[in-house]
Order: sequence, then C-alpha cells, then structure tokens
Amino acid sequence: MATLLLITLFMPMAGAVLVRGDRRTARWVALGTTLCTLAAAAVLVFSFPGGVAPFAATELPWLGGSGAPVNVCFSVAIDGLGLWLFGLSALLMVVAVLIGWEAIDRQTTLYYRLLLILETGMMGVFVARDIILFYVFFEFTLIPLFFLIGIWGSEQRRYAAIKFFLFTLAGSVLTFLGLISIVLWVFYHPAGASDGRLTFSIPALTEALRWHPMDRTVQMWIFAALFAGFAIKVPLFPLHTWLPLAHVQAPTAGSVILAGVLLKLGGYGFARFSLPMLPDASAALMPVMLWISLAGIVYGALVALAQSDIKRLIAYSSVSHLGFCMLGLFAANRLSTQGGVLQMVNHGLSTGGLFAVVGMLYERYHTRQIADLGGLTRRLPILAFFALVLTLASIGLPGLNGFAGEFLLLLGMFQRAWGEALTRDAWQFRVIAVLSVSGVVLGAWYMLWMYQRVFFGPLREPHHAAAEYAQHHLPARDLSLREILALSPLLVFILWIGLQPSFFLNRMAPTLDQLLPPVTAARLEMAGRHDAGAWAVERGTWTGHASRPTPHAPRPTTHNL
Amino acid sequence: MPDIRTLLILIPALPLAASLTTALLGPRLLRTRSHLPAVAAIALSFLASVLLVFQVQRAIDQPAAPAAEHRAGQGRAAQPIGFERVYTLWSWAQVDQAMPWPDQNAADTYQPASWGNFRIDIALRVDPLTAAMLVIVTCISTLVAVYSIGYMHDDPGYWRFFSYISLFVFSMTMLVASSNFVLLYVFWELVGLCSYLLIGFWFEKPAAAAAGKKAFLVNRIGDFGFALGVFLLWTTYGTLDFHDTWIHFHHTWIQTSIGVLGQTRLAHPEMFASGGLATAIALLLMLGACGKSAQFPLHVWLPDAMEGPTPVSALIHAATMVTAGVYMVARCMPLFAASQTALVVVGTLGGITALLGAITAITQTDLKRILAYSTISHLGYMFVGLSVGTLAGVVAGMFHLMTHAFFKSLLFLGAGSVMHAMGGVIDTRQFGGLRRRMPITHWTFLIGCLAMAGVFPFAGFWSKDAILLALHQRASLGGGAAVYQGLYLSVMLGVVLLAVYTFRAFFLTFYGPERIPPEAGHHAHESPITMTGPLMLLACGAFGLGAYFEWTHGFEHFLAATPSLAYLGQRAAEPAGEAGAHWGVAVLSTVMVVIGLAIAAVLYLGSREQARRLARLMNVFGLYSLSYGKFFFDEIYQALIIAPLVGLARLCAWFDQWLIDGLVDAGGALPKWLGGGFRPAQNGLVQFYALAMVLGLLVLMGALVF
Repeated sequence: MATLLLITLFMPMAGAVLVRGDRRTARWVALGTTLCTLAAAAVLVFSFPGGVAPFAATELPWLGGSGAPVNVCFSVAIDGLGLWLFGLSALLMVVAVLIGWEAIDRQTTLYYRLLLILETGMMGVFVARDIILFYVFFEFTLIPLFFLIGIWGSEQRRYAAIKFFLFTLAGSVLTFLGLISIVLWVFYHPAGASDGRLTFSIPALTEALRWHPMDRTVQMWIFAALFAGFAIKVPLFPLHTWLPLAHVQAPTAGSVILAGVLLKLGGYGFARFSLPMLPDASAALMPVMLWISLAGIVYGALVALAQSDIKRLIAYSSVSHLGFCMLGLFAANRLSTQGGVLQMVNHGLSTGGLFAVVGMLYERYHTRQIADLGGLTRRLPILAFFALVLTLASIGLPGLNGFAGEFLLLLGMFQRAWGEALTRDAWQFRVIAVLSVSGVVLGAWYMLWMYQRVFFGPLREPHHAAAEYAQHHLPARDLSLREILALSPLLVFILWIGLQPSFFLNRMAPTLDQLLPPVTAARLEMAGRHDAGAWAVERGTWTGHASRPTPHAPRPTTHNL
Repeated sequence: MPDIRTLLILIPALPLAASLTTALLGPRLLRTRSHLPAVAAIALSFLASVLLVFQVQRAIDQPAAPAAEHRAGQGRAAQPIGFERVYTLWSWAQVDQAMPWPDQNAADTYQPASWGNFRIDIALRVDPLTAAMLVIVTCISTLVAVYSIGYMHDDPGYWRFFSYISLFVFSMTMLVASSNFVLLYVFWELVGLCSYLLIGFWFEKPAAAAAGKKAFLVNRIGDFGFALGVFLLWTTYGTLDFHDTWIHFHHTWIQTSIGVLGQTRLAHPEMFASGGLATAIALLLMLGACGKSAQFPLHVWLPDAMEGPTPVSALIHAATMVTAGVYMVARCMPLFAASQTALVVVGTLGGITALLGAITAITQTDLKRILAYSTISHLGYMFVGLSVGTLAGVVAGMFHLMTHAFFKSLLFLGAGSVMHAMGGVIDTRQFGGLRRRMPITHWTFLIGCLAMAGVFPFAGFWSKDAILLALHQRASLGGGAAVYQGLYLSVMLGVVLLAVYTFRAFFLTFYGPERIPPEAGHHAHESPITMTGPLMLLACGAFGLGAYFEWTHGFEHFLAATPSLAYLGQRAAEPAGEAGAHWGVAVLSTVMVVIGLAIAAVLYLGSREQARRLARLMNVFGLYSLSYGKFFFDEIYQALIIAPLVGLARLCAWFDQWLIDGLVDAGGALPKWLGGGFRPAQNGLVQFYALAMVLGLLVLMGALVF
C-alpha cells in the first residue's frame, strides 16, 4: 500500500511529462492519467482500515542525512483527517479534465500539464507528514493555479491571478514562520527532541506538544501566524475578497478545483496544526473564531443574495459554507468536528459540481448573468436536473450530503453552547449557535432564487448566443455523454454521504478523536480566567488540564514516540 | 398475513420504487402509461396500511409479548403502556460518547449505561398514531392518483407528475413512520421538496415558479425553528430517538438510552424538562408546525401554492402534507404538555388562524383559494383541539384531521373537476349555474360542503363537535380556563363564518344562471369516470366516516393505545363527558351552522345585489378590503422583512466590493507608493549621490564624536 500511495502521488507528475502533441492526444493522456490516479486513490481510500495508525506510510530521509542536525523527511501517510479530502481531490480532477474537454482550445498541452502538476500538489498536502513537505505541497498548488487563471481565465484574468497569488502567498509566508517556530520550540524544550536533531515530523510534534504544551502567550502568537495563511485560504471573513474574483475569472476547471479542494487547505491546516498543537490558544480564541465564522456565514449569504453573476453568487455561497466548516472545527467537540470535516468534503462535491454546471452553461450561452437566462429547464432538462440536485445538496436538503455535515456540526455547536459546562461567556456561544442556523434559511433563499430565475419561467436565452446557434440552425444542446459522465460521480457521492454518512464518519472519527480533543471545558474555563499563574502550575502534565475525567481526554498512544 | 415489519417497510418502499421506475422509464417507455406504476404502488401501499392497522389492533388486543415483559422486569420502566414497535434498517450516523459528561443536575435521575452516544438509525417505528396516519395518507393518495389519470392526461409532464406524486407518498409515509427527530426532520424537508416541485410543476408560469420558491422559503423559516428545537432536545435529553433502546446482552436486557418519548420517560414524568426550557422546545417545534401546516404567522405560502395542479392541492396542500404539523404536535404531545404556556400559545395561534382563514375565505373569488383559506382555518381548528392537552383533545384534533382529509380533498377534486370543464378557469366570477351540466360534481361537492360546514350527520359535524366538547370541558377546569373559554367562543363564531363561505362558494359555482367562460370550449361537460369515481368514494367517506367512528369509538380506542397518548390518558383523569354538555354543544353548533347557511342562501342564492350592498357596507370600516386583501400579510412581509433584507444584502455587496476589497487593493498598492516615495533618491545624478555620501559621513562622524 505504501508503494501505491507513492505511485498515486507521482502518477500525475509523470502524466504531466507525458502530455504532449496536439489537443486530442493531450486531453486523452490527461484523462487517462487522472483516471488511473483516481483508481489508485480509490483503492487506497477504500482499503483504509480506520483507526489511528498511519496507513500506507512511507518515510525517507530527504534533507539532512543521518549526522545532520536537521531531519526533514519525505514522509507521507493517509490518516482519517486527510482520507476523504485525498479521495475528493482525485475525483474532482477527473471532473476537471472532462469539463475543459472542448472549452480549452489554446495551449492545451501546457494546460493539462499544469492541471496534473496541481493534482500532485493537492494530493500531497493531504498526506504529508512532515512540515517542510507539507509546506512544499501547500505552495505547490499555488503556482499551477496562478497560471491556469492567468492564461485561460476570462477578461480580468491577470488582475485576478496576481491578486490571488499575492494574497495567499502573503498569508502563507507568515504561516511558514509559525510552523518553523513550532519546530524550534519543541527542539529547545528540555523534554523534546531526544536525539538532538530538529524534527519536522507532524505526528511527533503533535505528540510532543500534547504532553508539553507551550506557554499560552507563545501559543497565541503562533496561532496568529498560522491564522494568517489558513484564514486566507479558507477564506474567512474579511479576508475573502480574492475568492469571488478568482472564481469568476478562472476557467471552469480552475473554479472546480479551487472550490472543491484548495479552499479545504485552510480548514485542513487549522485541523492539522492549530487545534491539536495549540490547544490553549484555540480554547482562548474559540469565541473569536466562532464569531468570525458566523460573520462569514451570514455575510457571505447576504452578499450572495445580491449577486447578479451566477459564479459570483456561488463564490459567496462558498464563503458562507466554509464559515459552517470553521464553526464546526472550532466548536471543537466530537460531533462538530466530524461534521465540520465532513462538510468540507460535502462542499467540495456540491459546490465543485455547481461550478461545473455554470461552466457548462457558459459554454452554451457565453454569459454568466442571471438576468440573461430563464426557463432553461425546457431547453436543457438534463442540465437542469443536475443543477437542481446540486442546488439542493448545497442548501442542505436532508437525504443529500450537505445536510449530514451541517446537521452534525450544528448539533455539536449547540452542545458546545448548552450541553457543555461553560464559564461566563455561555451567552456568546448561544447567540452564535442560534444565529448560525439562519445561514441555512438564507442559503435556501439565494440558491433557490437563482435556480428559479435561471431554470424556471418562460424560456430566455441571450441574443448573441441565439444568433450563434442560428448559424448552425441548432438550439443549445443538452448535456453530452461526456458531461453527464463528469457530473454523475458527484451525484453518487452526494447521495451516498446523504444516506449513510456513518460510512464516511466512522473512518475518520478515530483520527479526529486523537487530533482534536483538547479543547475541553476545563481548558475553556482556564482560558476564560486569564490567570497565567494558575496555568503555569498545571502546565507540563496533560492530566492537569483535563481536571475532570472526560471521554474527550486523549487516550495516550505511543506508536509515534 | 404479512407481519408488521414487512408491511411497514413495504408501505414506503413501494411508492419509492414506483417513483424511480417512472422517472427512469417514464419519458421514453411508459409515456401515457406512466400512471401505472404509481397507481399500483400507492394502492398496494394503502392495502398494506389497512392490513397494518388490523395487525396493530390484534397486537393491542393480545397481551404484551414475552420479550417486553422480560425487559419490564429489568429496567426502571414500568409495564410498557400502549403499543409500539421499532424496526432498524441501518445506522445513519454514529458518534460515540458525543456528550462529554452527563448533565450534573440530572445526577439523581436514572442514567443509562453509556450516556451520550450520538446514534441515529434509519429505523421505522409504528404505533397506533402512525398506523392511523398511514391509512389516511395512502387512502387519499390512491384516490387522488386515480383522479390524476383523468385530470393530467395529455399534459407534457405526465410521467414527471406521477414520479413526484409517488415520491411524495414515500416521503409522507416515512415522515409518519420515522423513529427519531432526525428522520422526522429529513422527511419533513423532503415532503417540502415534493411540495416545491409540484407547486412549480408548470414551471414556465412565473407565478408557479415564484409560489414554489415562496413555499419552500416560508417552510424553511419554520424549519429553522424546528431545527433549533431538535438541537435543544439533543442538548437537553442527550438523544433524539422517540423510543427507548434496549440491547440483549448475556440473557438480560440492558437499556442503552432513554428515548425522548420513550416508555421510561413516560413512566417518570419528572424526567421531562420543565419550565422555560420545556416552553422553548415546544414553541420552537410549534414554529416548525406553523410553517408546514400554514398557521399564522407563516400561513402566507399556502394560498399561493394553489398554482400547482389541482390534485396536488387536494393531496398535499389540503389532506396530507399540511397536516404533518398537526401530526408532529400530536406525536410530541408530552413535550407540549410539559408546558402550559406552550399549550396556550398553540391554542391561541390555532384560534387566530382559524378566524383569519375564515374571514379571508369569505371574500375571495378564486374557488381554489377559498378552499385554501378554509384549509388554513381548519388546520387552526386541529391545533386548537391539540392545545387542550388532554387525550380527548388530541383525539379530537386527529379525528378532525381525518375527516378534513376526506371532505377537503373531495372539495378540491370537485373544484378540479370544475376547472377541468371550464378550460382552466377557476375564478367564480366567470362561471356559474353548473349544476345541470356537471351533476355528479355538483352532488359530491354538496356532500363535501355539508361535511365541511359540519351539518349533522356528515363527518365534519362529529369531529368539529369533538373539538368543541374538548374545549368546553377544558374551560371548566383551572389553569388558563379563560383562554380556553375564549377559544371555545371563537370557534363557535368561526362555525358561522365557515358555513357562510362554504355555501357561498357552492352557490356561486353551481347555482344562479348558467355561465360558461369562452376558455371552456367543448370541454364544458361532466368529467370522465377516473375523476368522478374518486369523487364518489370520497363523498361516501365525507358522509359516513364521522358517524361511524363516533358510534363505534373505534378511532378513539385505537389512538389511545399510542404510548404517549396513553400516558396522557393515565396522567389526568379525564372529566367524564356529561351527556348534557355534549348535547348542549352539539345543538349550539348546529344552530350556528344554520345561521351561516341562511346568511349564505340569502346573499348568494337569488339576486346577489344583497351581497354587494353588504360588501359596500362593510367596506365603510375597511373590513371588506381587509378580507379581500388577505389582511395584507404579503405586503407587510414584503415591506418589513424581505425589502430590508434585500437592501441589507445590497449594502453588504457594496461594502464588500468597495470597502473590504478596496482596503485589500490599497494594501497591495502600498509598496508601489512607498517605492514612489523613494524613487526621487535614485535619480541617477552623480553629484547628488556624492552629496548624500558626504552628508551621511558627516552624520556618522557626528554620532561617533558626540
């Protein structure tokens, strides 16, 4: 299995080298590569045994040999947190290749190369077990997308590409600083790094920080540094403005990948680093993070309501939906974190699919304006069907995937606000919990309003497109087999997750339990007290923090030590 | 005879299979035969439901099963009351130890072994309440499906219609058979989706598309409350199951969770939340019921929903889906009974809605909208019945739900028959005097009207009477007696209005000089047998059902075996129905009906000059406009909620584009400005560089020296 993971990771890279020749060959090679990658990834994902042990792990020395003071490894493995996002990346990439099939008509070789390189980067992020490797993959996703937007985008593509690049780069540089300081802190801590080398291994660092947490002040600073990069990626309000622009300007495949996978990197980063490694800062900043998430939920929904461009509308809906994911992660109990991570996958499926549908509309009518379109159900019934299912998934209709994630994370949020013992700020949590549910109502409003205007009512097609089709004496065609094949797998998973989320939850639950338990009520109470003295006394022993025996307290495991 | 489990699975599974079959094969293969799978499946579902009722009745009559006795000895639960069975299909989601620790305040109460596991199963549950609902739903669905064969013929979306209808029957049967609040919520939303799809069935009509969206959104507001209620239930009770869960382990039964409405909790009423929390939970659930069952203040979507095909109006927006709220409140009655405040609010909302709907119905001219407002009004009656909070009250509400399902779907289908004949025209101002052209429709419609107005001995009389009697009895007890007295009086008053608007619609349609709109063409004749057949069957139900159940007490005894209702019956000793009070109420309400009937006859049977004069007279106080304008709820909501929200959305969009993004761009431009500031220094003049060097040296030396 370890070899299979390496093959999966680098197959797209090899494909990128192999892609050459004319458009026809290039796209078939690209499709073949992504399909093989998907097959391999599927084997990996579905043979994941659950539990907390790293699966398909490989660890090779990379920078610094045996005698060197640094120990950077090429270390990859699948665990419950990255599992479904890893699979999602492989799936969405096939969709992305199929979607650009006809639309990409210049520099096709370069296009598919970039796409495949991007695939390696994306999948690498979710399996990397070394901070440097993680960061390399993390940044690796940036460059191909920069070119994808800048070369194949719409009118303002240059501006959008540069803004996207600078914005995210600025944040991720700070994140890198934060990650490096974690490494250094553990290295200089007397109890850490026994072999006297700088370790960059993520599990080792997590484990070390679990038993020897940092000072609260240090945690706060590092949290802020990590926040800079991850919050921009998510994106959290008010750092989201690059997103609508990038989405609108990107080619369809770019939008699908951006919404489906790249936005998840932020949430993934929070779940992988901030919450497990900086539990005191996470507990102290929990209200702040929840307020920011809530702001994103409501604000994103309101702005989406006022959009006239379908792609912008869906982009803002992403801001709202990712607010839900962050709410789940930072409410930090079992229900909410599982819901939050599941919701990240859900958002990738439904919003990725919606962007694909908008791209298909754009290919037919060369417009994204809601006002130009109407009554398309009559003309394009199959497309309307797919759009309906994706819309309903996006607004969290029960029986489809969005509901499963949203319901669990909101249930967790309510448990945080009512069920779990809290200090004096309980009211904050309650207000946040109640208000966040309003995002569900607003979500239904803007999505159904959009759907009603575009697909219902009397048929309305833009004049120029009509003229173009009139030349060929043809009305706009409904979905081709290729397009149906591109969208169908999304539907399968939307239904599957909706009907049996337990299949997906059970495989990630043990890892999440291990990674994200520390923000207990005890910690929250301590965070509310602002009493550094009392804190310092308890520092150093984990059991000191969880003063009450709770099921949330981590079960100490030794496999990484 | 198949066992309960098989039946319970078949009832929703058949329509689901039919829906998928029709969706897959309809457009190409079945085409005009698309009704076959749907009608067959729904009819079989009905058959299965009837068998289920017999099985349940047999199980009630038999002594408790050995396993249950065994459990009773083990747990704290007393002898199980009533009848319930749960059949688990698969696990939907499970999060172990989701609750970190049990509520400290509840430490003195019984705690199950592993408190706090979050576990939601896809499980079906049957008790008498469910079985009764299943029969009502599938019976009406069968008749409506048959009717639709005639009504929808040569519609381009024929297959789509039957696919949606089957999907609806699946969702609705699952809703009443769900075993936990999550499934209830799931199918609550799914019937909403079916309603959305079917209201917008003719999606090319902008009004239909808009009505569909409105229905979904208003329901979402209700669901917002419902979801909050469910979340609070989770944080309060640590489970979302209705029932207790037992596992068989080493020859003993171990209870692993106490259901929200489980036997253990029913046996120990102190385990229900009380006070503000109970009120909050009940009222949030009621908000959900307000949305689904079109109660004030969320009733505005139902009249617009009449844009959908008429069979849909009959099935979904009169007989079944809109009663889901009533069903839910009846199901959760112990949660409502825990808070007298909540019961009073439910009653008040129901009472307001009942009068509001009746007053609005009096002046409407669209036949379907008159019926829609009357549905709103009748749903209000059902909630008033439930709000009594006693077994008699709940049974009365459910009884009215059943009779209403029959007479209201009869009236809607009759209106559909008229609409079919009139070429799609449904405005009562454009036709009249149809009694000779459409005799069967006329007579069945008359029976429907008599049943709805509550004329002795038609079905509506008995159920309405049961509600009035329950109110009357409740008003004689303490605790909010004044409210119930007020409700009693307003329902009595409502009976007059009810008779007036019912017979106004009847007279306008079938009496007076014969008028036929030009749209009717050669259609203006009696409808085919597929349409009149269901009408006649429904008319039989609307005529005899009430009296049958009143005399046999079958419905009451059957429902009383529902665990949560049996508990209500045990808890409060019901005031014995004095025969005198019963007769008094019945006579009074009959007098009211006769008054209403007389008014309608005087105003609308002969020349309608009187009616116009009365309308003008009422309009002096603005009453007529108020009623005709539907109390201007749409306008008020538009002005107070929608317009401000849209404005806020625009403001946010502007803020986002110019302020937030402006700041970002400004941040991006900062290096450029800074560079611009330093650019003069790099001017390429050697003399300037030399000067700068000398000055720099001087400063440096100065710093060193001093």
